[in-house]
Amino acid sequence: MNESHREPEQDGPGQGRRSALRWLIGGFLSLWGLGAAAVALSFLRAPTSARRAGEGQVRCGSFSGLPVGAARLVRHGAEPLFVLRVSDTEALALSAVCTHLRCVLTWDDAKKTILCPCHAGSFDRNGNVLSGPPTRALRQFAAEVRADEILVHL
Amino acid sequence: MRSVIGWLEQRFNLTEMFSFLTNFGLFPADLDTRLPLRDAIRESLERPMPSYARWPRVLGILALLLFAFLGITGVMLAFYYQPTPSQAYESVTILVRDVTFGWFVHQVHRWGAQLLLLILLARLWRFYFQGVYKAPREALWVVAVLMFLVAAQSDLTGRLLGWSAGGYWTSVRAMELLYALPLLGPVFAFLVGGSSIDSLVLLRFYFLHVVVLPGLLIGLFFINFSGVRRVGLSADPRERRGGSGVYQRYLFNLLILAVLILGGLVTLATLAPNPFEKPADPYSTPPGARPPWYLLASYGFMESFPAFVPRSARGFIVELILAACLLVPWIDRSAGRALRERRVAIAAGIVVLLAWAFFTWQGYRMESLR
Repeated sequence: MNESHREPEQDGPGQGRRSALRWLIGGFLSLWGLGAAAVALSFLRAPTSARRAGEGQVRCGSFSGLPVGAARLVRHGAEPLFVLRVSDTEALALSAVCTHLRCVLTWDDAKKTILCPCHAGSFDRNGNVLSGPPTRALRQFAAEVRADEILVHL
Repeated sequence: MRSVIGWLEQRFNLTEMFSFLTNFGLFPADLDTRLPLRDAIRESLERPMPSYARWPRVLGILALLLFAFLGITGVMLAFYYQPTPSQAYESVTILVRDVTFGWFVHQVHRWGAQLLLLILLARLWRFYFQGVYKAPREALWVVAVLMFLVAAQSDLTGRLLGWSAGGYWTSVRAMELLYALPLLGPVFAFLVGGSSIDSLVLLRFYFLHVVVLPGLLIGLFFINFSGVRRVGLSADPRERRGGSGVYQRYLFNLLILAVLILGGLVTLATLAPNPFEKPADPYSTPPGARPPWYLLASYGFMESFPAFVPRSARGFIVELILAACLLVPWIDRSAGRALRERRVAIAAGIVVLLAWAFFTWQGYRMESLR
């Protein structure tokens, strides 16, 4: 090897400066990398608030059109609801998505129960599990009656 | 023609530009970039090739061929498809009903995906039972597993796009299953953008299906064939290595296989088309909504546990199985590749295969009970 092109000695002058520079370059590049990754990842995370806007309150149709003890499926968003008329003045809202595997439930008007078409799970009028594979009760939502219209607050 | 190539050859190194294809399994070794393209290819065709370069060591290149075919038909479908919940079904209807040969391109794309998955799966089992994953081909095994997983994800994201009842509920089922996995589930949810299927999720499925996952697959094919060029095709211990044959012969055999598989594909697309389904209704679950066939086993497995086992624990077991699958080359430490040297591994493979078949049936049957 040519003597004039030799690398500086380990403890020669300039070695400290070289390693400091190397550290600085590495440090700044990794900071840039971290920043870029943070921007990219937070950009990729789907916003939830925008999709929830306007979903706070669902209008579920007329109250007097629903007989006492009957239920109605409300086709809303990706998670449909049941509104049930409990008494002359009160309504109840339940999620219509099975807690087992997300099948959309159906209302059995004869037995007054909620049935799952997929794996024969069933729920009572308050959303509690009666039979079948589901283990959790259906989610309940606050429902109010305003000017003969059922409003559900999610 | 010759003069055009000559003109180009003076301005570009065509051989060098073409030589990237050698990393996609088309040529067994580097092209000599000092030669003109025509001579380099001719020289490469006459290179000796080991006699064991034939069936079944062509599954990888067949998968690549099918993938290329899927890419072409996919680009054609993209000319008409609209990725929004309100337009998706309508645009596919127009494509299938009104566009000349639209039904054909659509069916070829759908059947091609299934054939690709079957070939990748067959390749995995061949790798396993013939011990191809033994050193120095561990990386090929890992790439093969990843390839199947990515191809399955591509198929899964493709099923939702048509917004048909079957496709929609298949996706819901599959998402329920994948989100139950404790470590991978959040990653899937992050990539897909939520657990309920709305327009943003459909758009992400579309983008993953047409850009991200095919890109990943191309990368995996590249790594795979580069690896094959480094470590060579695996020889069966009973076969004598070395031998006769030039590369040209291998290429002709490959062409025959390509014609056969494309013929099979066209036959399936014409004579056994996938039925055209009703549009998806997010508010009523049709009977018999199942995850796709390659997820049925995990589905049946997850649902076979007694109710008190939390879903995350079941998901964790599925993930352990997946990890074991990836780490097979480091788990099986038996000495040789011959069948009698790997009795435990072969027995384990047969047990896993039977269990897979059993749970697939279980998962299928679960949705038929009415």
